[in-house]
Amino acid sequence: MRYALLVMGAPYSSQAPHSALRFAHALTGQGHSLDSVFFYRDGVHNASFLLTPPQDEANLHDLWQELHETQGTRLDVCIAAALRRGLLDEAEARRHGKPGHNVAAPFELTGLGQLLTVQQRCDRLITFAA
Amino acid sequence: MSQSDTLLIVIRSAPHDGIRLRESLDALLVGAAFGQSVVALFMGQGAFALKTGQSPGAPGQKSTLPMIDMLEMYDIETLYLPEEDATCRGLGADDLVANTRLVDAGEVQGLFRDAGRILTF
Amino acid sequence: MSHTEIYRYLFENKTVALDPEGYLVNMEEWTPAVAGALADEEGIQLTDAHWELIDVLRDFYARYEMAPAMRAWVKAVKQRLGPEKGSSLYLMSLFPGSPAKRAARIAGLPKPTNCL
Repeated sequence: MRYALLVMGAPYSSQAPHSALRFAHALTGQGHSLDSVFFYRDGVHNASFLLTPPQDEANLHDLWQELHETQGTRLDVCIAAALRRGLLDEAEARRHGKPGHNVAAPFELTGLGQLLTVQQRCDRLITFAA
Repeated sequence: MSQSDTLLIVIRSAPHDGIRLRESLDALLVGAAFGQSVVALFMGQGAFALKTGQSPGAPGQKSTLPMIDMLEMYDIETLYLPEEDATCRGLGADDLVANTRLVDAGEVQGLFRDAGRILTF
Repeated sequence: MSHTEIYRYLFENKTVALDPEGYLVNMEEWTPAVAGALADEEGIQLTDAHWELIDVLRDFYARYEMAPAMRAWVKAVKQRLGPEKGSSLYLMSLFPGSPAKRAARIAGLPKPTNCL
């Protein structure tokens, strides 16, 4: 089956992204495909490439990126939720006159409409709320 | 994929609880702005979102009642709420915005059954 | 609002700060004259027909605290000005391109979040 995940919890402060990653590995391990992960609400913090946990803790940003590299999973981030929480890619930083950015490919800032499109395209959308 | 293309959006967040409710309502607006057939079901603490006479939002946050009022401009004209979720919070029809429709457990089941897709916030 | 967002000024005497995309940094600075100057930048000459649409936008924002997406703006125009004007084609003819976004800028409303 073709799956998508909706992640709405921030890394470390919420269990949601950690559980979502476990689920992602379980389902791809069983031969299902993981089309997309959509990050919404506090989940957008997963997209920051500046996450710097201690070395003995998982780096969630890197684990999502690895998922993209091994499974081709899209990593979509709601742009409105991201901007108000200070998560910007280079283009948005320029657009809003901000001095830096913390989001880059394979994460993509996109509209919430993308979530609806993903849901239409996939057989299952699994929500990991905070 | 289901035969129905109705999108059911379930909202369980109360107002004055950070930005949760506003970001849930955004999903409703996006569904409607994309021309989809959207059904709004408020459950649990989400009942308070439909309470009339709310003063401005939680400190530092925009209020949500204007957004609730705005839904009809996006042709979301019925806001479903399980009667039980209203009464156990002391809310009667008079306390709720005019577009609220109180539904019983059977009707709630029907909303889920008839939905092609469901998003829960 | 943060000063880092100021990118340039609308008027030569360094008043009315704009962000890199030409939106007002301080919404309170909006006046009809500001609207005229913003419209000029877009190559739009504001007429009464434009103004009644801008009024609908500003009233919508005052009432609902959000700028409308196209669908809601069309409906609000229809309610206020009748079915002939309440069509996306009509709005598009006066604010070509992305009407809701363009008109919101001229009307001094917040920049759309790009979610819609």
